Amino acid sequence: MTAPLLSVEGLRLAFGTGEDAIEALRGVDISIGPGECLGLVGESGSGKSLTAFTTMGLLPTQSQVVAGRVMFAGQDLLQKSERELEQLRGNDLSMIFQEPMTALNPVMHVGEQIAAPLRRHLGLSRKAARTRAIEQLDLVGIPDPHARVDNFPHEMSGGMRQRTMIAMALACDPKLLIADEPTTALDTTIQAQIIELLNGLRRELGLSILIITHDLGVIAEMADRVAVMYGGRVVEESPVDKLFDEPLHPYSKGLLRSTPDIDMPVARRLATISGAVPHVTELPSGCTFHPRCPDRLEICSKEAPEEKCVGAGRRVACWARDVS
Amino acid sequence: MLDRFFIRFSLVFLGALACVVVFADVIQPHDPLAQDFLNRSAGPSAEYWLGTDTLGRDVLSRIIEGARLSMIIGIASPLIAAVIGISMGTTAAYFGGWVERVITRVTDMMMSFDPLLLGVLIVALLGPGLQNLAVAIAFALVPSFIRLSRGSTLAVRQEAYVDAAIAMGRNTTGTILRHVLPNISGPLIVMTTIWVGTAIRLEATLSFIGLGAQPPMPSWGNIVREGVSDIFGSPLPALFAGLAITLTVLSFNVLGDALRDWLDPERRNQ
Amino acid sequence: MRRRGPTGGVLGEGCVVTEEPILKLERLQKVFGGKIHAVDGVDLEVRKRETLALVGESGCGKSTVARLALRLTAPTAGTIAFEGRDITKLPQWKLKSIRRRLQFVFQDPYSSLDPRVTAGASITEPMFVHGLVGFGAKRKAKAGELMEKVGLSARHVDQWPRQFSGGQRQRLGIIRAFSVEPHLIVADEPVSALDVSVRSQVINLLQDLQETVGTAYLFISHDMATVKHIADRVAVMYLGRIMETAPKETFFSAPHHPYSQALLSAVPSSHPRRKRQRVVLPGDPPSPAKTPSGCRFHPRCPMAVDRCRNEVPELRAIGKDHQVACHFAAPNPLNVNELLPAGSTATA
Repeated sequence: MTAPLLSVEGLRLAFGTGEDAIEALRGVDISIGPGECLGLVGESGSGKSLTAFTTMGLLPTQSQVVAGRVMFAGQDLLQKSERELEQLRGNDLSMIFQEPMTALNPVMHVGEQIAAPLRRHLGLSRKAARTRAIEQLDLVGIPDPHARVDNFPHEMSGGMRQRTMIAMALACDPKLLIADEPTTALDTTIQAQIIELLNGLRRELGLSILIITHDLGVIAEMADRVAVMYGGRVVEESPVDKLFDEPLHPYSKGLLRSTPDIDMPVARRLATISGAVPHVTELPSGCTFHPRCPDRLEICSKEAPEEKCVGAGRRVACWARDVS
Repeated sequence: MLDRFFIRFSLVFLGALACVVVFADVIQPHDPLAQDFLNRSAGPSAEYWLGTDTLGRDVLSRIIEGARLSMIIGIASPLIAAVIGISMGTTAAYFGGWVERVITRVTDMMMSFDPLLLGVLIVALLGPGLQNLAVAIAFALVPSFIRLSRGSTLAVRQEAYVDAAIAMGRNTTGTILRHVLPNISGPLIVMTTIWVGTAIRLEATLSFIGLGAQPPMPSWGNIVREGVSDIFGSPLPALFAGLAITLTVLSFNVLGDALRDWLDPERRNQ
Repeated sequence: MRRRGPTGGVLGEGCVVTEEPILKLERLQKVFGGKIHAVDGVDLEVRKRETLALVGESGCGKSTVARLALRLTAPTAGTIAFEGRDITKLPQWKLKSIRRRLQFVFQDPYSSLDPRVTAGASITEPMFVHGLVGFGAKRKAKAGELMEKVGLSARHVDQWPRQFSGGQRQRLGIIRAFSVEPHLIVADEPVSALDVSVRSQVINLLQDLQETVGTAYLFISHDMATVKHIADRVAVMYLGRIMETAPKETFFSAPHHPYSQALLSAVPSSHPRRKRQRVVLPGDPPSPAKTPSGCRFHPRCPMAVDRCRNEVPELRAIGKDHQVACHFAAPNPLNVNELLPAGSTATA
């Protein structure tokens, strides 16, 4: 495998300091190769979005990185100044969000919003940037881009806004696109459009994508590899079809089995994972999944398991897996 | 720190005031109406702690008796206003339609009058006297209660738990009493408290211009008025009554602000 | 003739349908602000003990149908009949006797419980309102009993809603609905706000309680996989109208309406090696404020012809218990998937 484009290594992030510090990321390792799509899947509080934001250098207030590196094209992003990060963001590294309305400026024409990074990062003239903005809108499948370029965000539908945000994110030909739940707020048919669009763009532009979602269907549609997060850690990492064929971590197993499957005959009852997702302020000791785990051992409540390699491209962090 | 001090001071002051009002008859050193012709406009002495007024009546006893009246009016009028205003406001918001339009228009009209002017108008219409005074002040306060309760009800009306109450079969009154009122009560309690201060001030003002409590019955406004007529001869009655008004109004305002902070869940969590 | 189309048939648990449906909506309409046709002529019936899933995308009017069925809002036109009784125009106070048999579960577990009412008081409120539970200790004991039925500890009766997690709150909402043993529960997206790992627990709970009490569900959802798991029959809604109703098996194996087909093909696959051939619909659903002429799906429909632009297709029976509102509907329909070249994308 070639050198990864992005690798997050041992990332730990805490809210607050000292005794009261709450560790929300507890040593996250992920990597994405050039042109690869990595799916980061998890539920609320798993730390998946936090990982993405930290990668972009957008730390939430009152949080700090305790340990770890975020290597992007050979440089540690965590060591960079805010100025240097601004150079990277929107240029080599772009992000799209769940709700485009929060990322788009409501009082600016969408064309100007797409043009802004072009003029800043690439030094394009006003006219050239506008032409490029129209091309971008066309690229993401917005009908009649010449007219749409002068629209305000609120004049567009949810699906169109998401397309516009993708156009904006891709304006400067980034190497990596981080997509945080990009289809969660959309309807099924619009979600399908956006998935097709992202898959198409990836092939066309050779883009790497980090897709963050709670929806295993989106993962199945888009990802090459998957990292499953729970309680601030990656518990399993695997090529996508291997995970769907044979999940190794009890949490991944539970997640896959408890999701109703539209392609399978209906079972009378759904398999379940017992208990509830713990809040980030009250994560259990040891392996954070142990109170809900059907395979837990003595050691699980005491010590967190390390991620171990278990075959081609597969890593899993589970004590029960070690023993067997 | 300063906040804390003010809140404690207000609580102590209002507590003392409450005792004074309840035990007025016992505490008063003299009959507030009794005149001592030999000691008119006298300064403080062992017999008359705060001196006497131009008619030789004990200022301390009069202020204590006046506290009673001021507090009764001060508490009764906002309560009357609250009952009327909240029922109208919630009704307007809950039912909407023409009911709401009529109520809002009337409120807008009432809001355009100065509360004092409105008070003067009503007393002028009904004639002076204790009950009319309470009605006048209450009337002046009703519009703000309507506005606040209407606004809050509109917000709560959108909550799924109100739909839930209706869908499970609660009738309108039950839904409003059980689910709407408790959820809009916070800001209303705060406003009632602050309005107590305002009502006391209005009472004093109306009495001062002769539209409130009628002499010889003492109220704080009366005492100030009578004191002002001889302000250079004996400034003490006006001064002490004025001080009583100021401190009481201030205490209720501080208490209102403190309640607002305490009832606001977002601030309380900090 | 009370029913359109054949209704005699065998349902899920072997219950023969010959009786009055629990809920019957006819030509139901709801217009907001004089021009937004949120619900525009909906015919629907929910039968005893069945789960009818009403599916559609945001803005299609499915939640408005729920509110109309619960009489939380009054229809502009049409009728709502509950257990054979026309309740379209009944005033709220006369609806009370109906409401014991007609309960609800809402989507947002955070706002459907009053934050100022304890868990115990909340879940016994329907029983209390209908005079089925006493006061004080009796009511609290009942509340504890109910909480244990949904896997919560009776010790928590006096806790406030904010002290429970989303999944626990939804359990409270569910047992509140079931406490009065209703005949129909209108459930508006009851699991979509929940975490994936909690969702299956709640779905199982909904099914278990349904089996014990014998309740019917009008189950509103946008998640086709959940619908496939829980429903007996499916009704698809688009821009205020029903496009297709069918028994679940028929619907998922052979959907007739082009919109149903597109909707199903848009569902993300459940395995990376089973990617489905997809009909990607061009564009977005139009706003209910300016509905297209004729068939309201025609601007996005791959099969649309002139007739579709001019003539509104009526919902008509094309098979056992199967109704479709499409001019092309026939017992053996064309599948739009076969009309389009493989892997075709939006040509907007």
